[in-house]
Amino acid sequence: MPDQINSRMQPSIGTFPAPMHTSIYPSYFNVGLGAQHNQQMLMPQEQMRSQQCLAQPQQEYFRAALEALRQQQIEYSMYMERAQKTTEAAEKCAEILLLKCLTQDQQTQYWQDRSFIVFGGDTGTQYRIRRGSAFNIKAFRNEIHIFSLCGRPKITLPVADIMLAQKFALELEEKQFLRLANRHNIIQQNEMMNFVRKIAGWI
Amino acid sequence: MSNLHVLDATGDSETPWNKDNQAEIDAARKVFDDFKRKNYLAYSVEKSGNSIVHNFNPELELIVMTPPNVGG
Repeated sequence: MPDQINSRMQPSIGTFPAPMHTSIYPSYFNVGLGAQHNQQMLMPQEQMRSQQCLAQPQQEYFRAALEALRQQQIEYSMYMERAQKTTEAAEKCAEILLLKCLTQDQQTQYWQDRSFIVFGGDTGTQYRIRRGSAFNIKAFRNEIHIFSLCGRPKITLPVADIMLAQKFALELEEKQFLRLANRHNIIQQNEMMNFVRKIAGWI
Repeated sequence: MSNLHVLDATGDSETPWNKDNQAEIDAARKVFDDFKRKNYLAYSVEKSGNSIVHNFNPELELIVMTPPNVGG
């Protein structure tokens, strides 16, 4: 019987030896070591001997794995910190250039709520460019929001750079920009909602 | 001192030139032409008003080049 148990306790080649009495190891370490009830059949002395034989390489393995994991965590947090600093620096740099290119009025508006008004070079439409990168341009007629636009440079840029590119495009190449930008009509949406409400009232 | 700003992920890259220094003008012109070939749009920022720049002009004070726009 003891021989049988010992043969079951031999770790198979290619699997990591893990004792059955430890619960922290995943179940796949049990492969080749027999079921748990076999372990309970071991005498305390034999149990201790098997533990001494198997614990050392296991401990080294897990220590190394934990160390590698810790190292990865440190590297990842350093990477994130560097990336954040780079992004902040880029944003600052872009904002400086944006402010350099804005008129006095636009600068005042920008400091109030991080948005500014431009007038379309071709149609004279009033646009408000808000801080953002998607559907951040609102077009107004008689101070009524009529549609929103989404158009931006095709590469990844800091938000202030996107706003600057949008300002130049609207002021100097409005028709071209309107052709390529996605448009969301607010008036039509409101009319549609009124129509839906009317129908809902009839029902 | 005049400046050429090209918008990129770091904010912008700057190429300054002095109107009296031909080497600096040539360097700025090369950057301008390189990005123009990549379909970048160039705008001059002047106190009198902004305008589109088709060819590099060393007399300008500030040129901003932006990547081509796309629908978002």
